[in-house]
Amino acid sequence: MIKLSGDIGNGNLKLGISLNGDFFGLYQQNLGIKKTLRELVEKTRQMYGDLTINAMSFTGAGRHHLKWIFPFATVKTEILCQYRAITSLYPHANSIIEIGKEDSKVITLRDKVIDYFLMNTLCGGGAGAYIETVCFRFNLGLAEFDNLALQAEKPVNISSKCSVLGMSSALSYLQRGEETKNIVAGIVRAVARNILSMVKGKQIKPPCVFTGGGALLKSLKKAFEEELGFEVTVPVSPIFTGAYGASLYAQENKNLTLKQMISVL
Amino acid sequence: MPKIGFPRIGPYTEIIAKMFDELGTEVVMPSSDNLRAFKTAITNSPEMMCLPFKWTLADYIDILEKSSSNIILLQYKTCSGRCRFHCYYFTQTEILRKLGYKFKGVYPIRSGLGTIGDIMGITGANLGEVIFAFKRAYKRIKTLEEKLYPKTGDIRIGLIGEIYTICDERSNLNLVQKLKDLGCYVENSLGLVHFINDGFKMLFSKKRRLLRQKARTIFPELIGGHLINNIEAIIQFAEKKFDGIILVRPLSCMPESFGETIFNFLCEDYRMPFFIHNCDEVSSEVNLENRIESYIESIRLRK
Repeated sequence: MIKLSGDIGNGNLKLGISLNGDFFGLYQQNLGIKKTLRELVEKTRQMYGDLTINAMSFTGAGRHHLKWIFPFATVKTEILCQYRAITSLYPHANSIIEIGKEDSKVITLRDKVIDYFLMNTLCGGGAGAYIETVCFRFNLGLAEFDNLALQAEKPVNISSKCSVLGMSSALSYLQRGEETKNIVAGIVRAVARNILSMVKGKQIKPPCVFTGGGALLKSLKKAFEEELGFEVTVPVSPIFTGAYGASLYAQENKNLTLKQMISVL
Repeated sequence: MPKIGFPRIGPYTEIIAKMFDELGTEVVMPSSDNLRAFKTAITNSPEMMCLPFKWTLADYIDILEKSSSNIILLQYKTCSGRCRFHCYYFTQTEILRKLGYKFKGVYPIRSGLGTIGDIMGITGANLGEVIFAFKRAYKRIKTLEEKLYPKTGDIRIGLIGEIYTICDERSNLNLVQKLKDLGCYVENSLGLVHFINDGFKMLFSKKRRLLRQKARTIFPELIGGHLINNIEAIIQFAEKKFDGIILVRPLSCMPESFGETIFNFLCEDYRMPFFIHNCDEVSSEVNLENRIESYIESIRLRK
């Protein structure tokens, strides 16, 4: 059975194809759901030929829009998809931290079901967009940013709540002649702290899985480990866990070739 | 004939207006979507003030723009103890006067038995008339609530929190309707019927007083707002084996923010998933929908 699953995030659109148990994925910046999805499906078609899709499922913020275009598709919320993916990859996981571009989530598990989940509601200070803004201001690529943050010896203390005020305090440090690596490490630590402050009374218990686009940053993983006091696990390709979870929910419903799919989009 | 105006409180507004109408007063109703007045209210209230303050102020502005002479504005004084809500009339009068409106004043209406006395004073009706009008209004509220919270749905959700934000659908971004659409059976621990009944039960029912004692063992201090009622509500929902608890509160609400820790521990003990909905003018309806859906689905997964 061939399954197509999509994680329609605010930042990036992730598309996954599940071929007899093997899973591979593509992603691209979201510049309009239909347009981006069409391009991704086109790319898949060029790589693997005109596959016939047996099952389709979507998750992420844009899932309702795609449910409207493909009424037979399964749609599930991000929380459920992340949970399903992580518990199938790491059956012993007790908590999940996910950092996306604009959303961050913490899920705690008890007896292998969701006990509690939190998504940022009023503040985006714990999401990937914070880091991207800093990268843009300091004129750094993400990989460069990550390397610099890992080299830091004395990370500075940066207010964690608001990304704009955090940015301005980062710039004040720069004005004072602080080294860039210490500032970016401070930013990374601020993001980690912001997410952990969201959890409050709910303790994150090991084993903890850290996923989402933010997990690609080794410095952020390190910051979490320092704050939590234990090691966190990062899946092989953390970007695609949402799409992978969605593919696990997909049920055989309608056969559709990629070409037909493009024609609808 | 005295002329009065009062802020909207969700679907109950029309019933309260009708009651005052029957008591021989002229009621000036605020419009249901007074966004312009709301903007004026936001710009004229302190930044960290809670949402009920801003919405009630917006309603006053709306009323005063419709009819400005000799009007008496009423304020619900639903909270006891140290919540700020019962002092709002003071600052709101100042703000409204500064904005240049002319009116008689903002009068707080006490909760409990004081309500009857206050209404008698404002309308000039006698005790019998007020009690009679009250009874009729109570019946109407009861039928309204039966329609509002139908007892159908596979997932049972209990609402706790702050009474104004729970009842007023503008403040909570239509939370109840969203829950009903997702197939939930919603019980509001702070509906008006429950709120009125609870006062009498407190006087006459021993069982009710025992519940209060139990809640006092969990948290012995008097902090105001609905903190103690919410603790009782959680105990009652747990006894009825509810599936989840949603706390609806204005952002920066003092008593409910303080109580969050207690509610968290209680819900953990009773193994009911707990969800917090902060109401503020910057809250987004789409984000809320997403989170509520995730919450309900995670409960379904548990079952």
